Amino acid sequence: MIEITSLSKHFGPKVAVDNLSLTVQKGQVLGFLGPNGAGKSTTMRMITGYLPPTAGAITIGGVDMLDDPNQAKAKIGYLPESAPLYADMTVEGFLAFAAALRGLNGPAKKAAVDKAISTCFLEKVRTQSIDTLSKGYRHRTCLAQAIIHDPEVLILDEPTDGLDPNQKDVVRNLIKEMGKTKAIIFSTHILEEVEACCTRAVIIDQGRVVADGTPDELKRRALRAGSVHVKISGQGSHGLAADLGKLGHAARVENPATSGDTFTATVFPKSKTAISALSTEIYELCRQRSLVLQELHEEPGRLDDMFRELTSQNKV
Amino acid sequence: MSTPTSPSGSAQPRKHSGWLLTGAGVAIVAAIFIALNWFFSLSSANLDFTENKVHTLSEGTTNILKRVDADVTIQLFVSPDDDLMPQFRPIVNQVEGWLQRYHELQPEHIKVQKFVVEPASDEEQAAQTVGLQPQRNQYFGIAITCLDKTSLIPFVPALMAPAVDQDRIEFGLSAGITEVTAQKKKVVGLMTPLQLSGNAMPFGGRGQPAWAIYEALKSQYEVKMVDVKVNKIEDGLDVLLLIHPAGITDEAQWAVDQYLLKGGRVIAFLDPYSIVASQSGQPQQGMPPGMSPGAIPTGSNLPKLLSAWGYTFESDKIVADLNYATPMTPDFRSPILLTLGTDGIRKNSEVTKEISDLWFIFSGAYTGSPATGLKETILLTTSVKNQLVDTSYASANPNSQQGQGQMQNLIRTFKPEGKERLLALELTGKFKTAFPEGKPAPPPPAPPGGPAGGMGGLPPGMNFGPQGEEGAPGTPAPAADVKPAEAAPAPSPEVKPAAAPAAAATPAPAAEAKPAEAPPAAAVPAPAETKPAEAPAAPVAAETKPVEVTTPPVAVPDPLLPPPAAAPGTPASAPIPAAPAGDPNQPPALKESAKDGLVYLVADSDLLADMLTPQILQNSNLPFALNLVDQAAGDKDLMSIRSRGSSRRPFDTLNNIRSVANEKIKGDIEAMNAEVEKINTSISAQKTSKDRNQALFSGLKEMEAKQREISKRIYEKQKEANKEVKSKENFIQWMNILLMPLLIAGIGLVVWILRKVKTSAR
Amino acid sequence: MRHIGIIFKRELASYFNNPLAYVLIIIFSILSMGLTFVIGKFLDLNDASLTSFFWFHPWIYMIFGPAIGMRLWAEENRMGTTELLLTMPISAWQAIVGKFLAACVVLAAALVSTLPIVYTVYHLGNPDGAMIFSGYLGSFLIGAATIAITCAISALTRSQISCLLISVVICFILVLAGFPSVTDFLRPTMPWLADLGNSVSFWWHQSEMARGLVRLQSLVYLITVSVFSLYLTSVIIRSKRA
Repeated sequence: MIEITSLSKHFGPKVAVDNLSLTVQKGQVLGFLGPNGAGKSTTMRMITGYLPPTAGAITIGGVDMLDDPNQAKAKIGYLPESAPLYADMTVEGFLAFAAALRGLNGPAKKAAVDKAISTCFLEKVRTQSIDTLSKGYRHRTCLAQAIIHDPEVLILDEPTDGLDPNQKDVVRNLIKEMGKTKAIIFSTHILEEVEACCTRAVIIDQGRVVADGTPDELKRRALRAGSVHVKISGQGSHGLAADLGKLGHAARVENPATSGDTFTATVFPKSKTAISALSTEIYELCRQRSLVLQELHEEPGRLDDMFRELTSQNKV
Repeated sequence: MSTPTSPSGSAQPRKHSGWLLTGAGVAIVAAIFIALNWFFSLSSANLDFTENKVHTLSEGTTNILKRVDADVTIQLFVSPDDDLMPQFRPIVNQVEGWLQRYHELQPEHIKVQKFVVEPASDEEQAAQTVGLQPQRNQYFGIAITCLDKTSLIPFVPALMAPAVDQDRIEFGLSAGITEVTAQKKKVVGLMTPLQLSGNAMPFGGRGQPAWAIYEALKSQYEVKMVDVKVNKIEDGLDVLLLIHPAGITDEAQWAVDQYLLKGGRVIAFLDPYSIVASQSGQPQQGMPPGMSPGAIPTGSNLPKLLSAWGYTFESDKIVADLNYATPMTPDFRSPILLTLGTDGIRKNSEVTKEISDLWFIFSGAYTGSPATGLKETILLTTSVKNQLVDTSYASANPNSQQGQGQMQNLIRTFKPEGKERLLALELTGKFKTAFPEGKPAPPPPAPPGGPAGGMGGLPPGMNFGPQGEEGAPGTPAPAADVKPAEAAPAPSPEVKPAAAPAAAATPAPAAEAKPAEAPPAAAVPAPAETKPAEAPAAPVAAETKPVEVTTPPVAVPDPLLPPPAAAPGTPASAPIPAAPAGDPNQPPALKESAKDGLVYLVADSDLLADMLTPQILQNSNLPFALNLVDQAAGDKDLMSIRSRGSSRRPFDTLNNIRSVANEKIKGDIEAMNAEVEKINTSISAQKTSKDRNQALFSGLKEMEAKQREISKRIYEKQKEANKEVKSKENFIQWMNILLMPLLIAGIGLVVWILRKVKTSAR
Repeated sequence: MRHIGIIFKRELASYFNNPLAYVLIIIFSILSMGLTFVIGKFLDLNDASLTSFFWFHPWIYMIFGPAIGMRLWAEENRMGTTELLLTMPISAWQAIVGKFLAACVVLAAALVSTLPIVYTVYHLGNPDGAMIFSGYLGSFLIGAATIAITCAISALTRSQISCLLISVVICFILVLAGFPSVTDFLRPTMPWLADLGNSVSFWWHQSEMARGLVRLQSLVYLITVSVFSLYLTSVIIRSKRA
């Protein structure tokens, strides 16, 4: 549905997006991750036709954004960052305006407005002036605007930013639900969100894609993934870190920490297949020293580790 | 899952016109727009959104150009921009634009050339050959040439000041074209009982030279004489010139009226006291007594016509003016001989623009304001220090002790009018007939030889010249000296010789039947007294043609004047012929002019009499009169150009309220003024009385206090009258300023409240 | 066309749902009428025409045009709704034209609010209706030009106040350029500049139209100023995104 080819955007000497290529299929919900200033919003603005790219091509549902912007834009629903709205309009009036610009009119327009209002749970405020709305309602109003014409493509720039946990949940569910039939790109800082509702996550940094995959794939790629986390308590835990490192299948020990009688550490196996052997060795070690092995589990890998690892590499 | 895509997307060519939104695009679009604007700034094309199309070449010009059938060359001579005063530079383009439009209207015959006149160049030579002179060292003139005739506009900016408007230059150009293409002389009809053409005396008497004005007219126009009793003005007269039309009949007035309504141009030199006429009755030296001519009435008037136009002319009053008085001797200035310098001459008209020095001899004055549809242009006025006095002052010999004493007395007791009186004015516009009932019946056939029966066969007064040479300028030779029996003694205020033409114009056959015994002066009251006396005749007249028996509106009979004994009897036998309701041979009478007419009124005729006062040849009297004729003889199309667009659009309603308010208090004010006047006279009488004592003095004080009090009352009355206008003005002003804002504020408030209610959180 | 209509309707509703339009129209009405009647002594002129009334218009537009137009894009920029608007399936020029037309309706409403003076001259005298019409036409075109200029400035900034100030300065120059005392001052030394001043000056065009002379030059100038300013607006909007 969305096909981005070698997209670049320069603001003067600054390169915001650098030769970025991306394809999103129907039914995919793509979580767009990246630190602030990584080029997420810029990329989304180019996809929605707001910013003209310096180089590259954007095709939405087979229509080139630069050749036929209006046709391409018609296929997109867009929720900009900070959800801007015309404050002097009513919710209903604003949605009707958006629907009209989307080419709907008459009963179709009314039906679309009604549907968007019910989808985004806006019934309570439908005749209210937008400047009287709370932040959550504003966000949802803007979201309603984005989905009013039932677009094939949804671009949502931080759709849950500034919402309370309940509202976040509502929005996530909405995205999940709509993701079944649409191609959705949404950007966020919140990694659980990606895990919760994305079928795919892309991490960009400094305008480039640094990671691309399902959330699980990405987690597994985290450095810590596959290591063994131990928590040992009892007398004589001093020097345990060195002992653990000397085990036959252990490669190295990281993060050794002692607090009182309790010792924690992450032990990396020599190879991924050696995890169970390593576990046995650790267990044996504890038994020999009459230490209590309180915890021992395999580290599944965490997305924020992954994120941090990827996006902090080039910093400093 | 990332899908590497082919680089083909970025390589494909873009068809969108992105260049338009770049810096280069802005430059290109700006250049195009600037070029577009530059192109249109060269063109003078416009849409004229005025009712009178003041910004478009008029129909008059179109008509004039249509008639052009010979090649006309319009040459514009203009100094190079650097030599031209800066404020004239933009005019050059405009003038060129207008010239171009002339060419476009008649491309076959109108050729336009422009010469930039560098100093000491061939172009300067050419400019001087056609007669153009530099003005303030710059050339900006136009020469219009057709065959051997050339007309010049010496300095274009002079035409256009103060506003750069097209009509002025259009008039100049169109007039020039008319002038050079005109084929035949225009015809001037001359209606006067005076012998302007001069006369060779029978019996070897001295011949009478023609008047200078007559000679001048003849050189320029074809002059046709028109009788004062004519009942139809023949077609083809371009101008009708009336010089002291004493004895004009109602029928002749009707004829003039109809001529005017057909779009004619009328110039009338009326006179309350014509010296020339006063001398006409004198027996001539060496003339057989039997040939003694009938006198021409000294006063002339057009009562019917004037009242229809909204004016009156008191043909028995002359105007005296202390400011414009003419010095007669080192220590005596005659207030009834007026010398008009720049003050009295309004420069707002073509005819007076170049006039600087005029001399009026025993002039009358016009009062009134233009009737609806007419536009008045005041040409000449008296000063504010003027007073209407009886014609007897004119007939008094200024060289005599008595005459001078009388004049001194007048000056001493002078009561200035306080506002200027009209000596000459122009009326244009759509005239309405003065004879709404149709043509007046002709008077009964007069016996031949009557004084009003036309002067044709009678020799005129012969001794104007000698008289003028002998006496002081303008010395009248009063008729009173000659015919003491008939004419009342000069000092008598009751005598109203000026009313004579009225008498002559009314069917008073008795007066005509007895020319010798009943000179016009004696017949004065006759018309006034006719109605009560002629019981049997009057009803008939009233039924058939009521107009005929009405007294001429001007000759308001003086209530003090006792009716002469002869009067009641005289008209009794007057057979008033019933006029045919409609003469089958006559075209239907016009009620209102179809085309704009033009009338010039001048309050004196002696100003033309050069044989009377040779000085007239040196001052502006003659040019002024010729200006009037030239102006009037101008093309109708030209006149339409001249008058169009300049019409002001006043606030009639407001002015009406004002005048109604003033009208309301007029009676009161007048009464109070009269009271003040009365007190004034008694004060001055007492002041001059020799025996002043204390009692009288305190009485005086009392009177002065009363006078002040009345003046205050007058002031308050006027203030009150103006209150209505002021309050109406205030109402209009504040309605205009506040009505809509309040309305809009109201609407805004309602919208705001409704919206607040509908959209608030609940 | 449909899109222009939608934008136009929204913008117009936005004008009249705010106190702004009402306040501006009221100010315009009071200013133009007050100046004419109080300063211009309209009733004492005894002239049943509106030339003295239109004389003040360019001066009023100098502030009124920017005041109407300042919010057009500055407000969108400030609230971020530009992003919303321009990602709709419409072209930027459609949005520009729609907004401009809405502002022109406010201008027209302001002119309608001065109609009492037309009634007054008809009531008091016998005015030249066509001349009044051409005066209003000129007034409207000049007002529209000041709005278009403001529109371009408005696209540059997100602050309505700075937009207002800059636009007022530009309009002031454009009005003053043809004011007689200015052209008279320039003419002796730089006549070409005086001519240029005349032909770019709103004041000159207004005074010509008020006396019934609608030059093709005036029409072309005023319309190109508006069109160029709107075009410039789209260039600015585009370049701000590039």
